[in-house]
Amino acid sequence: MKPKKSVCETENFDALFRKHSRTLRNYIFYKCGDVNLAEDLVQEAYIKLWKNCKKIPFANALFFLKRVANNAFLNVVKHQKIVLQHEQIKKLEVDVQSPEFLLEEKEFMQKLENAIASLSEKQREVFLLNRIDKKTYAEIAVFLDISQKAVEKRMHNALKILRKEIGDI
Amino acid sequence: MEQSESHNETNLAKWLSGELSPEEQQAFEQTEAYKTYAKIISATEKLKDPAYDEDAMLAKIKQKIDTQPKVRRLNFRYVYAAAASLVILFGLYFFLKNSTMTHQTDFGKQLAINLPDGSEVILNAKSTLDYDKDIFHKERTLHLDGEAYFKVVKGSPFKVITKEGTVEVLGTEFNVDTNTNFFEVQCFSGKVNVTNAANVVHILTKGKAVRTYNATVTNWTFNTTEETWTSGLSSFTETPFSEVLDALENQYQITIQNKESFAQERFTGRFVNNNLEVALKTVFEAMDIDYFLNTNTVTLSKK
Repeated sequence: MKPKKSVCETENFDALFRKHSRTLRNYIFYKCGDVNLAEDLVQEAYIKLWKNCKKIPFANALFFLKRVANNAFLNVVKHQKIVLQHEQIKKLEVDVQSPEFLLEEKEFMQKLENAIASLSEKQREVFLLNRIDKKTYAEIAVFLDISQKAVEKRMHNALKILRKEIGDI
Repeated sequence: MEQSESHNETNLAKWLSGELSPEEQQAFEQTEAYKTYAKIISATEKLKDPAYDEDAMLAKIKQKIDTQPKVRRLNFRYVYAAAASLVILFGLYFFLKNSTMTHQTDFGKQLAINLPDGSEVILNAKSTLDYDKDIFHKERTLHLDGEAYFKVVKGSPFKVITKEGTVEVLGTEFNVDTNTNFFEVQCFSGKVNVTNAANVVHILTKGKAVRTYNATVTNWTFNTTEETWTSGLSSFTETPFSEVLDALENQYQITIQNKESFAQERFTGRFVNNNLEVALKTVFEAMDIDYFLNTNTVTLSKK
């Protein structure tokens, strides 16, 4: 029988960090639009994981990290409705296109960003984890601890709302 | 599509993951809505998450882990009792004696300090050094915030602790400079043991230097006979420009505006510590930066 992996081993802890920290950071960022806050909370979550490494089985580590970061997030922004900006996620590719086309593209990106900001928190985190972090529905379901069907519903509704907000072309 | 949309709550998600049947796919592509959805999805390819420095994050976490010991669960009854007795003990301790020696320098000042063991320290501007004089003969440990030059007499291990790392020696001459996320040690003679915040150990010999800046480590060699700030000149080798600006501010009690625009630059060279105008000229002309001095404020702008 293989000995169980322990989170207390630096090697395993580092692996958990490299595998999940960016997704966790983005997950909190998609909720609140504040990168610094997201990074602080993720740091705290990993420190807490280390302190409690004996009690947490390796397989449950991601769940623990997500819960700690999420709880900390709820404590920080309780009762605050945050206006989302997502200002840092626009990055148009450099392209040789006509100026009119580029302008249209830019306008469209602007509309898209506003529409993403108007999604509910649950729809937005699913939509962006899939589109930016390239997570599959199954992976998102595990991460959020909900059914895959629920992930697909949120995705479906997110798309419907985006289309409604942007309008047909 | 509109019809099936009302029946199906996930088909857009299925479409996106390529799980629609060929018939469903074809039917969907005929609808007006399809164009908009396709355009939305292709536009999302351009969305990016904010930059992420994984190594820096991990280093920060490691540093915090090292400075906070693991928590053990305690019986609270004992905790309160222990806390109460600690308060009393500390109170008595400070009432009876305060053996911590603290030396602090203001803007533009330097201070030469003789330690109980005969070692010498020169403290640069805007820096703080403290040590416990009662146990110093047993344990040569000092805390430093800022910059100082050490001339250590041979004896038991001599330790300089800073927020950004630790330097340990037996007998030697060396310089330590710290700031937020910045830790630099230069060895002028003997041998120095440097541990940075990420717990990486470097052993320096004469003429060797090491710097940790935002978790990046750089090694270089320098000429030990060259003048340093202790003889009235502040000198720098490939130093992050933000540190040079901080040194100018500390030396001359000035405020530099628009520092952020030049934070990414590196600077090699020096400035004098007794003439502000000459110092500004040497630094900013060399870097091709326009500057404007008005009483105690220097404003920088790109040429």
